[in-house]
Amino acid sequence: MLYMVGIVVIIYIFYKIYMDVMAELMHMATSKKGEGQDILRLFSTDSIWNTVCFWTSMLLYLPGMIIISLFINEVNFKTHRQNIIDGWKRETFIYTKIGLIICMSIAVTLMNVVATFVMCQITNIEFSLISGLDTLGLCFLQTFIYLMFALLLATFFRRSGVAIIIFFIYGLILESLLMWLFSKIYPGVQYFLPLEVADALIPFPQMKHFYADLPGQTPLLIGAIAFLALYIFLTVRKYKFDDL
Amino acid sequence: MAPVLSLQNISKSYGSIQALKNVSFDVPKGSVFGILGPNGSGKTTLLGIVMDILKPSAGNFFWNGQPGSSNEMRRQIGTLLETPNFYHYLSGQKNLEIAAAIKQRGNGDIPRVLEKVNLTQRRKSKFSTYSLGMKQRLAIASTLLGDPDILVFDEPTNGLDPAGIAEIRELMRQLNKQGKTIIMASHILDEVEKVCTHVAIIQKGDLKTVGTVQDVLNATPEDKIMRVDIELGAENLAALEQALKQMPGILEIISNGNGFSIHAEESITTAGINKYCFEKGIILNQLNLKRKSLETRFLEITGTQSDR
Repeated sequence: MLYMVGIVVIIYIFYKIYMDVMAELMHMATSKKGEGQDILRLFSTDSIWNTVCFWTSMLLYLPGMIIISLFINEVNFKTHRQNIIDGWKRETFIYTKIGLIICMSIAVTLMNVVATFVMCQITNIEFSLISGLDTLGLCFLQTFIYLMFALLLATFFRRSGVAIIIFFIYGLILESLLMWLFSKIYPGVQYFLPLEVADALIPFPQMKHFYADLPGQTPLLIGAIAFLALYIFLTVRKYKFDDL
Repeated sequence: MAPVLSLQNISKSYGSIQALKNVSFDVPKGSVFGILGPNGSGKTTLLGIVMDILKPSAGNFFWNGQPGSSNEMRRQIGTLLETPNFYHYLSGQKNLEIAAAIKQRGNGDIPRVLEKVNLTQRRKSKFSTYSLGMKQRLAIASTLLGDPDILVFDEPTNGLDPAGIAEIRELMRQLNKQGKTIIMASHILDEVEKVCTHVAIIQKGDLKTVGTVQDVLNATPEDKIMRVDIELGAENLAALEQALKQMPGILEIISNGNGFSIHAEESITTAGINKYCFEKGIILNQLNLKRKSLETRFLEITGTQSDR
């Protein structure tokens, strides 16, 4: 619920700032103070899904933290060991966590539907679920990748503090540095970094000049699915063969 | 009869530290098998390996002749490893329901096991509100779910008061009488001596000795010959010493001021000594068979003070 409110609030704040900026630009252009106009059409029927999903992806670190905490709680209280002792296969335990991630990804995707509906009411544009289906699919994939990456860190580091710090430092700082570096050396490759490959699926709408080297959606989708498969493989393998 | 558990050259290393070194032994069916050793000797590591929590660096193990520890096999073993591991925000009853579901046993057995460990009254309380002893008893209840034929306990009386310890020991004896095999790791020598039929002594990852408790008590550390210790005395100590020196089967004679302590082969009995001395004209005024405790034996084998 808190997450739901969070994503609506973050989009609404963006909307208010954006419309104020648009109003100021219009005023400068016409020397006449007036209503803000959506000249970039970020809040149009075509772009609303993309705009909402782009902004809500900023909050994916929160469910990522929840996944890390849930897994490491099991490690700290040794309940995961007891489940194995009682007769679960190691794979069964880790697949339940992946199942939980799929459920959370579906929940986040559904929250984006609600957030988009709310924004459609605020901005007086028509709500069309059909037009947002492809973006919602990409949103689900993006969330799945973020949460699997969080689970991978949790299985490797087994300390919630360490895993969460690495999750934030990598996602917010290190990957930005790597993106800048790769954009200088191998332009285009920067979109195939572990989390950016998911972010690049839903770029900021109507700002294509910011993404000059952005590959087409098919290679990005292949890259994203390949990273997702790698995260699942490494997580299962680590849990299956490691001391618990 | 095929052993319930057979270990073959199990080793486990953590970097440069070797926690277990080529440990091999069999656990006979129907035995109460104690794994004895000081803290940090590798007991829990060994149990962790056979329950698939830890991976061995080398070696194999077999449950009922089957290699490794399959999840089907683990479902048929009641195990308490180290500390009770339950969801602290759930009640005792709910935690047992989870364990029963994983073991594919159904919830029908839960009232029986709760009754067995005297936790029926507190079954609906959250696990986090339990005392250490209650947590331990809930863990034991969990091991009894489905009435398994094999039970594995790691320090089962941890945190229990003297009455609780006596109850658990009695429970183990009852379970053993029902033909169940119990494998128990402990550093409490008295506990192992009172409950176990077999014992393996481990120190710093090395298996020092293994066998029935009686065999382990009787074996000498050096040559493994079975022997008995007897204290005896007489008016004429010099004549007694001379007679003992001539008696076959006497391995060692130690003077203790008022008499002698002797180590002898197992075939030597107090009645035999009494008869032999009488025939030599010596009237004994003291003749005691010294029963060696497991603690004495443990100290002989490990050369350390126990953690008791």
